[in-house]
Amino acid sequence: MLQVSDQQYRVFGAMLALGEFTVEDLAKLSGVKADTVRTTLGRNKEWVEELGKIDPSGPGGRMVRYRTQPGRIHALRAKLSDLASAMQLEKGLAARAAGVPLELLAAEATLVERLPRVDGAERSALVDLVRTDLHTAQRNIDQRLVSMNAENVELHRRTVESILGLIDAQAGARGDETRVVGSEDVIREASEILARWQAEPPGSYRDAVVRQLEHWRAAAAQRLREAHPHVVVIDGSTGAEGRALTGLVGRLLRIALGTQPDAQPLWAHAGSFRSIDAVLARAGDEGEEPDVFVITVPASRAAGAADFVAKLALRVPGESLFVISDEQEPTLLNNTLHARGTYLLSPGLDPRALGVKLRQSVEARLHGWPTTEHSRSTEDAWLEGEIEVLESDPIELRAPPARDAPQAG
Amino acid sequence: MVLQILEARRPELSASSATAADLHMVVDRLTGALLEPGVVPEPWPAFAERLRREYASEAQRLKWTGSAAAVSTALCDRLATETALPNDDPIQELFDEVVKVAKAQLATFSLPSPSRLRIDLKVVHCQLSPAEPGCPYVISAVTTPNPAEPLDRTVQLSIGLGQPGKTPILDLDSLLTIPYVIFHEVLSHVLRSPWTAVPVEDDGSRFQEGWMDFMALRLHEAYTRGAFGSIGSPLVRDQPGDCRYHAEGYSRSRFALDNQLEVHSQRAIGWAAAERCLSAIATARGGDVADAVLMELSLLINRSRQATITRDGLIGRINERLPFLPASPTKTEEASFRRLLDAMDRARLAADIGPILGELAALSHLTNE
Repeated sequence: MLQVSDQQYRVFGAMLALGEFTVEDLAKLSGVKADTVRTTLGRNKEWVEELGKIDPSGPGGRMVRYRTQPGRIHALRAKLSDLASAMQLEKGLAARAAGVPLELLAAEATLVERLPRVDGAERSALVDLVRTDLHTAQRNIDQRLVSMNAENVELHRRTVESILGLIDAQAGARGDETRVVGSEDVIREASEILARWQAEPPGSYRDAVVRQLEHWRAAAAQRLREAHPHVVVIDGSTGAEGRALTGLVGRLLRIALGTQPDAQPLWAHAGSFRSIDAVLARAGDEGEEPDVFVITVPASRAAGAADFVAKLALRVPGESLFVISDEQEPTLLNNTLHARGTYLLSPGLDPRALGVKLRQSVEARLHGWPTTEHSRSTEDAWLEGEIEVLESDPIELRAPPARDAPQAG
Repeated sequence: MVLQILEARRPELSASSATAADLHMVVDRLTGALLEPGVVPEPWPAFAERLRREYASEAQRLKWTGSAAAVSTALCDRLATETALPNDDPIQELFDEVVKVAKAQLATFSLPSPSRLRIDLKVVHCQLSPAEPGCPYVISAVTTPNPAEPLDRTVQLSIGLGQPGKTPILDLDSLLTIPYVIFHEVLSHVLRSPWTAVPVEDDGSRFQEGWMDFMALRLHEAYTRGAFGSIGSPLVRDQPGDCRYHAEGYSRSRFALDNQLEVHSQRAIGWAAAERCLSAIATARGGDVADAVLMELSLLINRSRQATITRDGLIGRINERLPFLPASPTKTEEASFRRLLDAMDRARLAADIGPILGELAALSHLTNE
């Protein structure tokens, strides 16, 4: 770190301002003692050149007149910047900013102070700007272009990365769903950084950082909840083929929605279609209303299922209902048309496509109608990512036994 | 201006130790009396007249009471003569000169400002320092549009005087920053697009408050060195070096990181980018043309239709793509750098910053290659 004093800074500033000067000129303008000016000049001869000696009108004898080296004006200005920075280090800004690349501080400040006041395109542009700053800062750190305080750099870098990660996770609600993957880690990281900031001395800037970390963490957490919807699978089967179908749907949902088997509630309600109240009550036992109902129905129970769906539709939003039949029996499609949402699955889907469509439908219900392009890209992405999983651990579809006799719902 | 005269006399008077104490007392008393709150603000001619009366009265009192016997009559008379202040408002005069210089810059690069653009000055006095925390000077300014006339701009210059009964806070150092403050205001905020009646928030903008502040400082420096002809303002004409020194100090206080980190870091990054650009252009094209090239580019961006965030984004890109070139750049670094400079040239020729934005986006990172 540069060892400088306020006096040196003032002398250099006076040199820059005056262009041509004597020691006395510099002392007068900078307010620094003439002896100190002489010492500074003596140690920095490369910046000045002597022009000769002059006779002042008053006492004091002949004085040497100097000028700033004409070719070094820019370099001198840059040196002043360095001196200013070094002085700031000594003054210890919020000591936390000391030894941190300027771009990193600016990136953080943009996220903390400016971003909350804008939205739309301007918000996106600001986030891009922050990423650029972060990249520049990292380059400067890697190339050691700045003197650094490793601990401070780490705090600010992690803060910026953490908020950016939270913004990405939250933005997944409107854009790339794959960003949701890993959100738990981002939120955990943010919580750690938040705790570190909360331990800092109180101050308006610290409070602003804490506020933004809390805001984005909550937004990302909300997005995470939405991306892993609370799904209730109602098993309308009574036989082995129905259970196989329900198992398949459950498996696909877990894969398609990116949930871990034990991480999110994914309930199966097997049995009768009669007691809708009981189904709803049980679904809500966990204290949170389900986001999505998926009803698996063997074709053999289509009539009863249709009746059940119609009644359930009176209790839950149509967009929340998914009715899946092992054969997507046309009768079932027709019978539930008035009650279900617009996302009933198409007939003839293979298991893999079923999972994709189900995911799209859930996403669409949560976030709006997907465009054809969006659906296709999502499907492609999902297939590309998950096909290896499916192939290494294939879903078994057991051949259904002979159909049960039709039952009343 | 009287304060300036008074302060300027201090070193001269201090040569005579016998009179120094009394004369310093006079200066202090006058400063305190003249700046007594409750009687300001008032229009310049009246204010000047009152200053002159007070000053002459004090000089006479000193002479007749003999409280400072060592003070010569001649000196008192000279002090009194110096109070024959012009009736023109010196600050308005300075303001007009700065506006003229700034507009001439635009004209030089064929980037005229809107012909109906009207720029007014309003000077207000306040008891507390109007400057930001951490700024050692008691001068500040703000530019506001006229809601009724989108092309009208008013620069309000605030001068801190001090509270009644307390030591005045206005000092000569602060007065010397007025030219810079006006340059900053005119260049950064008056001659910037869009010219609408809706105020644009520039406070946290790295381009408006950092980059353009650097340019204002450069223009101020050129002006105080007489680059635009004779200097009309006595404040600048008599003490150009001091003006530059305090302008630099004021500018730096605006982005000192020990204060208001959130705003100052943005300003600092814009300032540093402009400085880096100037250095790079000077390296490639020569120091004699660097200022002009950068000024043209800056004015071009400043009056473009690009939104503030786009301008700020430009700063981010420049910082990313244009680190200080090493003493011995690689061929790739040099080639990339020259492409950027060529893009700047194309932008200047076309009076459109599009080529720069495009080139910055296309350039691979100089230091990553």
